[in-house]
Amino acid sequence: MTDKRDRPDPIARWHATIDALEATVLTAPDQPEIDKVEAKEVQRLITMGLAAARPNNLPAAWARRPGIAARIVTDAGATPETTEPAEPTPRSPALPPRPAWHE
Amino acid sequence: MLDPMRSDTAAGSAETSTETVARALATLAPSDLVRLKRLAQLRARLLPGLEWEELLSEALLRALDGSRRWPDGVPLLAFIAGIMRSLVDGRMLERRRLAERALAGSGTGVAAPPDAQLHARQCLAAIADFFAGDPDVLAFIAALARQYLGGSDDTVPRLSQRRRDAARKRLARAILRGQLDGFLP
Repeated sequence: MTDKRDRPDPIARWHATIDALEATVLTAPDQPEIDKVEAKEVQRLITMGLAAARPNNLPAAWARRPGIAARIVTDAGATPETTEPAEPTPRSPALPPRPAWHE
Repeated sequence: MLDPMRSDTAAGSAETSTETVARALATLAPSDLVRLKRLAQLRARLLPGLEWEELLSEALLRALDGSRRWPDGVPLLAFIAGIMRSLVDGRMLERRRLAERALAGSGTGVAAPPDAQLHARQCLAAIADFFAGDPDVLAFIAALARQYLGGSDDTVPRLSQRRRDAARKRLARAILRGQLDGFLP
């Protein structure tokens, strides 16, 4: 009788092949040629992961609460324009010359 | 001396494990970063449409948030590779269940989705094409894959230790240089 494992389906064979290739990479004594761009790509992913996992050690009083940030730090671009009419331009403190007949 | 590439968290808490993982990841050499990328690229090939960056990011998060503990004595790259394997297996199972549900309504027999079978066939054919001029490497891959399938490797040609070592080296070089990944569908 033919063993079922003698004719595995392509998905199982592809799985096993990936496992074999992975084992080869993990045990390869040679160092891969370093492509700085590729190394930086992975470094960036690690940095993002580390930042996401970093615990927040700030005291509770320092924790940002909803609504607080908007009052403390205002975004100039997001500040709504006032709908009230603009205040009148302040008058010049210099008084107009008095008519001559007052004197 | 602490080896940053191996877990040293004997009797440590999950928090200690995540701190150790974070330290080890932050000190990985550029060559290990590239190796990590190759591992992610290989594993992502099992699931059409899955990007290696997405897979690696998710694995890193699992390692760093403590949901996966770094076992003692396991190299860091093997630990991350194990998480990626588990993630891909989980997603494949999920896809298969979805396909089963869809087929259950139509009364068709339950089997692996045909697109997954086609993808697997294409990838196996691409590897055969890539190493067509190097039968020793093909024999080495076939023998190793047979071991992972749980069968004997009697059906593949036996290689001497010297030829086997040389084939392993050529295969590793092709993967680490990214040549094989660029050839796969």
